[in-house]
Amino acid sequence: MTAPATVDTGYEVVIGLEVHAQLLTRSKMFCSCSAAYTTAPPNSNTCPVCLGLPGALPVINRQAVEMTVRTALALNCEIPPFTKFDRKNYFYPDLPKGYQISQYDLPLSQDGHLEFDVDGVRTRCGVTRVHLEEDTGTMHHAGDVLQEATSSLVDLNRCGVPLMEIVGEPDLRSADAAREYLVRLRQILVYIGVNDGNLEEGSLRCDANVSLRVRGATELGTKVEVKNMNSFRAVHHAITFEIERQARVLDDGGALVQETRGWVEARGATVSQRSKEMAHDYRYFPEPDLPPLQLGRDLVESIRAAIPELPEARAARFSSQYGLSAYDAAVLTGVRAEADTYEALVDAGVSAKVAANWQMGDVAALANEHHVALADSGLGVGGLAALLALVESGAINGSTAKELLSELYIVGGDPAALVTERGLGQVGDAAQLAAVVAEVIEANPKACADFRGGREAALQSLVGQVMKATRGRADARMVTTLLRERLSG
Amino acid sequence: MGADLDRILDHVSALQRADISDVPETAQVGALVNVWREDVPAGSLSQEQALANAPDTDGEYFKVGAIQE
Amino acid sequence: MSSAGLTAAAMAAALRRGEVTPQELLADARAQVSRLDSSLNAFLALTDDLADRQAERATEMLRDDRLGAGPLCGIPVALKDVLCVEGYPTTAGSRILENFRPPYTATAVQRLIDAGAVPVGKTNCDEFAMGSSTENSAYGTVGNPWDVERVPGGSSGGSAAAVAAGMVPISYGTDTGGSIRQPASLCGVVGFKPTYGRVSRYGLIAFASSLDQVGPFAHSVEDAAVAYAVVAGNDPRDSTSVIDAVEDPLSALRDGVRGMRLGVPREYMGDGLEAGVRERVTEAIRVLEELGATVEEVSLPSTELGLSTYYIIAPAECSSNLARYDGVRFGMRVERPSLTETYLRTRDQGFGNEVKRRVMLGTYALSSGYYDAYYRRAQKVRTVIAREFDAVFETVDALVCPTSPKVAFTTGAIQDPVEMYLNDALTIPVNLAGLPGISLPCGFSDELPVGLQVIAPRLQDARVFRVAAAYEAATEWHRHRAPLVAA
Repeated sequence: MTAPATVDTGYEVVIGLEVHAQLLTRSKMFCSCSAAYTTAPPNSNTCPVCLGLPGALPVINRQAVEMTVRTALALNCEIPPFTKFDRKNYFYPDLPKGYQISQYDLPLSQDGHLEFDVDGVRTRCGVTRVHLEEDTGTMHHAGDVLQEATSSLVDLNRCGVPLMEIVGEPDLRSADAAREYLVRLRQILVYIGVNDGNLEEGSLRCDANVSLRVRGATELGTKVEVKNMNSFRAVHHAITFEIERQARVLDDGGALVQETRGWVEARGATVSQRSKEMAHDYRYFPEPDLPPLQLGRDLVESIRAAIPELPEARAARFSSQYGLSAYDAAVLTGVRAEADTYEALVDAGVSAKVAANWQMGDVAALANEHHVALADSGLGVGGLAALLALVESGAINGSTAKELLSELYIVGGDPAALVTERGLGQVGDAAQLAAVVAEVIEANPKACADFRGGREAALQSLVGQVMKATRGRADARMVTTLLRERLSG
Repeated sequence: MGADLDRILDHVSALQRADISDVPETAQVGALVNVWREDVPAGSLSQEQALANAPDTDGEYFKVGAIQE
Repeated sequence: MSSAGLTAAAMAAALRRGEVTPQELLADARAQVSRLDSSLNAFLALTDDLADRQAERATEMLRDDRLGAGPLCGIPVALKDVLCVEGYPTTAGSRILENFRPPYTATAVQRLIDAGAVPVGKTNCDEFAMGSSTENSAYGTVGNPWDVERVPGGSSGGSAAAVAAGMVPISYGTDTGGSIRQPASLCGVVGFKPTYGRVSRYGLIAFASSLDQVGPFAHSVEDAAVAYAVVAGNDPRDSTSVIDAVEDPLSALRDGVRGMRLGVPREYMGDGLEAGVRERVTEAIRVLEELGATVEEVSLPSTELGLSTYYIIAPAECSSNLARYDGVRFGMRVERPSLTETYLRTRDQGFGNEVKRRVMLGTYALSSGYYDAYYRRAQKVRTVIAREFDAVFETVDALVCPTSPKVAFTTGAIQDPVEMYLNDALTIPVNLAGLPGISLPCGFSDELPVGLQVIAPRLQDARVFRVAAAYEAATEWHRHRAPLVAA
């Protein structure tokens, strides 16, 4: 995950990000086709409306409006009392009507902001607007390069899926800042349940407007739009490349062209793309087929009230409420479902620290290995809580718990019952352990001598022997204590 | 065609004389607001139906010519 | 004896008396089409299978009281070819849609089908509903049943002619700037444009979204009211469709005009009217006065700007609505190596001149740099026009005036587009304001029909029918049939 070092070119870097996020609605923006189009055979998820057939008319998806308002509120935007849709007119085969229903001058929201940290420094980036529109279809070009293809294939399954456009102010001053903005934005979108955060597959898309200017200047330099960045890493690399490219041109006394450039991963470079639309004048006018929206106070406030606790606020609360470090709190609140799991564990009686350690440690490892989150696993939150209760009460030791966790994660089961059934109870009886300790000391004179001679590691091997003799059930702490006592006496 | 368009444009330029100082635009005559539908998916056309009228397809996709600039 | 030329009401009564069957009515309609359409060219296609199935269905519905057979059950109807009917060619009078078969049916048509009506076929029209004479159809002109050398009006010329020629008692057209009322006037039939939003536009091939409305042609006001009621009402698939329930247009139909205040807009009685039109309309207004209405002159000062306003807004909307005709998913395609060329060639060959004119005008009016001066300004003048109607309706209940300044002109007589546009000067403002309006026969001039127009406030469709019905009941014009109707 190493990014190329950001070089200071001597210019001030001005970056604005434009993010398009597909909304997690069940149906499309203006028709009732399913919004879950990715697995459908080509052109099997369309209707007269999203196919743009003569006579078809759009009907607004209320949930899409609500999700957009929810997003706007989470980004601290203003929701104006009146908003409408407009037609953005241009020709392209993946745009069946020859226009996209979008929003032009009266969008659903404006004037918000997003706060995040860049290398530990608190940063704020303005959000110009969040508006709602419809996605286009997709095209495949025969051959690899668009400009050389003799024909293209059009699939309209995706056409009409609700798309939210989030336009950031050009407040970002580095590739790092751009990445952190995007990371935080993505986290929030996933948190509030409006988008699945998938940059790779394109349900979340990011374009960057990058320009340079002399430090202290107020006017913006020539803006270059960078597209086709499908990961955080690509965003960072592409912007870094573009900054350096622009700096070189300016340093050489050249002039930058206002253009669109695509990031080509294989070349590690942005490449000029000629404009794909037939005209840049979109001839926006109010969509005559859709009455405007008036979102009243009550509606907006009810949407606001339903927004879940956002990640930063939740992390702060985890720190103060559960005594977790900032780092641990951030890890546990990174994904909302994980934060929910954590609180469910604590609510089920597991102590805060124990829950945190196990969730971030062994549980996370198992979740990765099996591609199943705890909440969806056979063991579940309840099962883990029961297991950890046995640990906290001393009924079993840590390594027994790990083994049980691993065994039960997928298939589930009753930890307490298993412990009883298999006699896995922790051996914590001092007398019983003392006897074993004595045996082990006698059987391992060299290790004892090493320990007495100052080698701590030798103690661990003796502990290991005791654990082996008790088939892993001894209370490790007690064993360690007993050994130390015996050996220092 | 050009001459016809000129004549029409001449005619419609009568609009420039209208007094419309404080008048709002009428984008729609209905005074309707907030017309929307619940987020419930319903059936789509089959692939065959969607492609049925297309001049050129490969059986699954609509096919178009080279996109040159 | 053929039922050709009977009203739907008469046919419905005969059906219920068992004097005739839906199949027989259908056969009569087909026979009339067969006999006359080679000289009229009112129909582009017949929907034979659908008609046969519907005749069957109507028979069932009439037989079984529980199935609730309404007034259009078993009645032959015709549909302007801008209304989508699943599986049947729907061309909008254009080459670019020559073999387009929609995979779905327009809501208005579905309501007719559910009501047991029998759609006989799709009627000819100006291409994409743009025109006032049906001379812009890519499939040939339509003859006016009163004089086949003359135009039936447009854009719904085929639907008007189909009724006027006694082929069907009821047909449906669309009205964006007068395209139902003006052909009704020229063909001597009743034509009604509902309040904007009263009838669903879902499945109506769009010309100008904020102006288009579907409406009926008929021989009588009552038939038109019934035909309207069957298709009217909110449609969740059309977001511009009125939510309020439809007021039954029949309940007050015979209430008469005594005590009503009727206004005659002075700007509609100006110099542009043919003498015969002025005389018939003036006489008609006098009849209404004699029936007990008070008549006064009113003023709609911005009438003159209506044409300019319309010829910015309608082309602007249509330039966008017609962008989808690109040869990719349906319709004609002229194959060329590059996408751009395919696109340009297809539209150049697929669209006729009037359509091209309007698309270019519309594109221009919406372009950056011109938007404010044209489109935005036109939308403001539109507000002014609508407000003038509102103001006038504070003092009168309805307006009466001519529908068209002329009677039917000879095919080919008008070549200048602007002169052609003038035919709609008296109908356009009604669309701009979204009001309901009707045209009904009020006499003849040079043996050609003259139409009287009645206009009411938004959502007062029932009132339009009431005034029209009162005039009709006091006169005989509605009984006249074009000579070619009878064998």
